[in-house]
Amino acid sequence: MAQRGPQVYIITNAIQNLVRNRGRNFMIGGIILVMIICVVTALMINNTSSGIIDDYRTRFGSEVVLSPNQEKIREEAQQNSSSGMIRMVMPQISAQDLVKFGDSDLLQKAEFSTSTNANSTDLTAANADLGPGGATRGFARGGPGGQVEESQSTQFYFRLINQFADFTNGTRELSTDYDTTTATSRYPESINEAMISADVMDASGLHLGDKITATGELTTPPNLDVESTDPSDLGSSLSDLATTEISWSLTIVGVYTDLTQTEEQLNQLRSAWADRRNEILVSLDTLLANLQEGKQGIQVSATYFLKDPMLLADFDAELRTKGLPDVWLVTTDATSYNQVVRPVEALKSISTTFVFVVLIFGAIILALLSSIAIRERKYEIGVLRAMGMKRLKVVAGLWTETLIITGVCLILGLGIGMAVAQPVTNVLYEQQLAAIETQNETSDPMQGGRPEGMGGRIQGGPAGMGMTLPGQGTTAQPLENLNISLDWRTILQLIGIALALSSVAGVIATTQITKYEPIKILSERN
Amino acid sequence: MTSALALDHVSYRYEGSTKPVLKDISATFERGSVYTIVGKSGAGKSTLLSLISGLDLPTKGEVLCGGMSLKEMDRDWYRSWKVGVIFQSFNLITNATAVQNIVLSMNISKSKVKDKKTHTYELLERMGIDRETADRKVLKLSGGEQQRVGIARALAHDPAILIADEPTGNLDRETEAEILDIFTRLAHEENRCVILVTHSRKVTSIADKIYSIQHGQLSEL
Ligand SMILES: Nc1ncnc2c1ncn2[C@@H]1O[C@H](COP(=O)(O)OP(=O)(O)OP(=O)(O)O)[C@@H](O)[C@H]1O
Ligand SMILES: [Mg+2]
Repeated sequence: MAQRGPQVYIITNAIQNLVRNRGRNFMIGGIILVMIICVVTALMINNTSSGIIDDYRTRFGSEVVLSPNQEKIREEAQQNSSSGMIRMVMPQISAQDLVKFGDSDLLQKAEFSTSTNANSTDLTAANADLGPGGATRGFARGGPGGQVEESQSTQFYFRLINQFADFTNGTRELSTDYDTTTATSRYPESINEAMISADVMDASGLHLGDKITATGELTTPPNLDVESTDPSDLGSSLSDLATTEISWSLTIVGVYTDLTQTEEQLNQLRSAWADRRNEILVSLDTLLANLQEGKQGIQVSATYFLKDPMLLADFDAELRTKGLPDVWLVTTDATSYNQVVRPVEALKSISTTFVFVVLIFGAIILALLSSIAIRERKYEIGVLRAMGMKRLKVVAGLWTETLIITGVCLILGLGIGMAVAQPVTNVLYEQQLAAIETQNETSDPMQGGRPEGMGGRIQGGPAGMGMTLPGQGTTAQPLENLNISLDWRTILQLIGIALALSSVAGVIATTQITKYEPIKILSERN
Repeated sequence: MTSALALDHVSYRYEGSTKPVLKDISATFERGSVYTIVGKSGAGKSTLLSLISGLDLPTKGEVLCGGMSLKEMDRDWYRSWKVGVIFQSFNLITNATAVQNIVLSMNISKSKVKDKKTHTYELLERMGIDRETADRKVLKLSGGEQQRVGIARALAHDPAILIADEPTGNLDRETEAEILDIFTRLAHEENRCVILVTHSRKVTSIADKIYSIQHGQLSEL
């Protein structure tokens, strides 16, 4: 009995009805349009705010800072001092512990920056005539930035590092066209693979695939807890340091070109050790393979990124069970988080509230309107029902009308909303950027205690030469502007909201029509 | 053979009123015949038709179609397919055109006619309504024209039972005669059951059987 596509007439009839009742439909459409524009704008701001917050969380908010509790150190120092002299000792975290701490489910990632000084009889250093440098023995007194005690000890020409960020930030370049007869230059992938500068390769007469041996030195640090009243004791103890020789057997798989050092800078170098071209790039595992418990010589610094800033307390607890002493504080950059994220969160919650208010008021207005509209069309509905049209189909027809109005308004509203949302967001985002800038000026998140294994920065050679501050390669700059493009999430949310809105009208229609008996409608009218 | 339509001890009382309009009525209506129902104004003629057309159910008793009670039937389907009703007050959608009214009704009836619009124009033509009038909104049609659109709508899906409440009340004699001719042919040539409520002697003249309603009772004249 049923015809092919028997229900199409519901749609054509709905369209005819829309045209017939232009006046009323323009009014309803106008109200829906205003609502949709409000919702589009608010949703876009909302999603953009979420974006800012997420972006911030991944970049700053979740970066864990391990810093010594200065108060506690001072207290302990005072308690321990028998003579009048107070000596504060900066606590240190062993490289092994830093690696161990990084192995956590709570972390999004852990980045390690490792380095050690080395020599190799197989290699001829660039600027070799400047002689070696970079004494490894020495330790700090009086906290970060304190004086470095140096003694006559082994000097080095080379450094083993795992700084591959240089290749993405443009300070080093992979020389792919180098010596292609034996192999193609590439990055180290497995343990004991190394990458060497083109200058060192040439000076040493080596080829890709050649094996070299690099040697380094580990030292056993003096027991700093021993009370000493005479500073010279300390100096003398340095020469007593026990040293252990370590070595790597490396295969050269890659060649790089350094892009940073200018002629002028090269002229100012005081040792071959300080020449960036004498850095041998190896994987983290290669460097960690020679770590030895209780010995110094391989510097490790770590930057931990939590999956979510809320996990800080859990991570703290986990670190304590893994042996982090009480003198260390585990924090995230809460001040900047508060300064930057709180206003955005406030904005987000305002826009969320706005969406809800608009939706609630809109739903009430729509419910009233469609209730009035239904009452106006009661007679028409009575006729349709008398003709034998099923209740559900009558509802479907009315719903189709609302859906068409909503659909048209959705398209118009999206266009207008986008035009409005972009400038609004630009203003908002510029404010956020300004906030981040002033924030960065007042408290540089780079400063302050960072987890540094075995002396870290303090032990290094000439400042800034080849040393990479922890986290430097990973901290992205804020986006210059936040482009509001209409993402699928927003569109889907909108469609959902539009459907919900037309459902309000649909539900009203259904409940009212269910109450109407055609005989009553028709006899009332007659 | 079961009757096209049968009333079995039907009583009806409007909700909230104390006096029943119809009291224990029984009657049968067969295919191939024209029936007229006469009675004073307020006698309950329209009420009886609303029961026959499945718009309402009797307070007591049954209305049977082909032996089956309307209570047990999908009355939406019954109204859209089995019966064609010409209402006393037309009951057309006033802001739609005559054609739109009829095409919509045919769609509701799931009519198998392929070109519903052409079919509608032809039907209206038979009722004496030209294309231009057919495309005018019902609101802008005269009473007689509206009545004829109502008749066309009732006939559009070829119902087995045609029910009409004062179908010629607004028509001139000539048009009335034409419409009555159509009704007679529907009954006698196409074997439909035609039930007409009327005050008009002219209409009564085509009846095969005449019923009268008085004091809620139905009697054959
Ligand atoms: N919805 C209603 N509620 C209560 N009483 C009603 C209702 N509709 C009709 N009546 C009453 O029922 C009785 C029968 O009405 P009905 O419309 O059937 O009369 P009728 O025979 O068709 O009259 P007419 O020839 O004037 O059309 C009347 O007394 C009328 O007042
Ligand atoms: Mg009547």
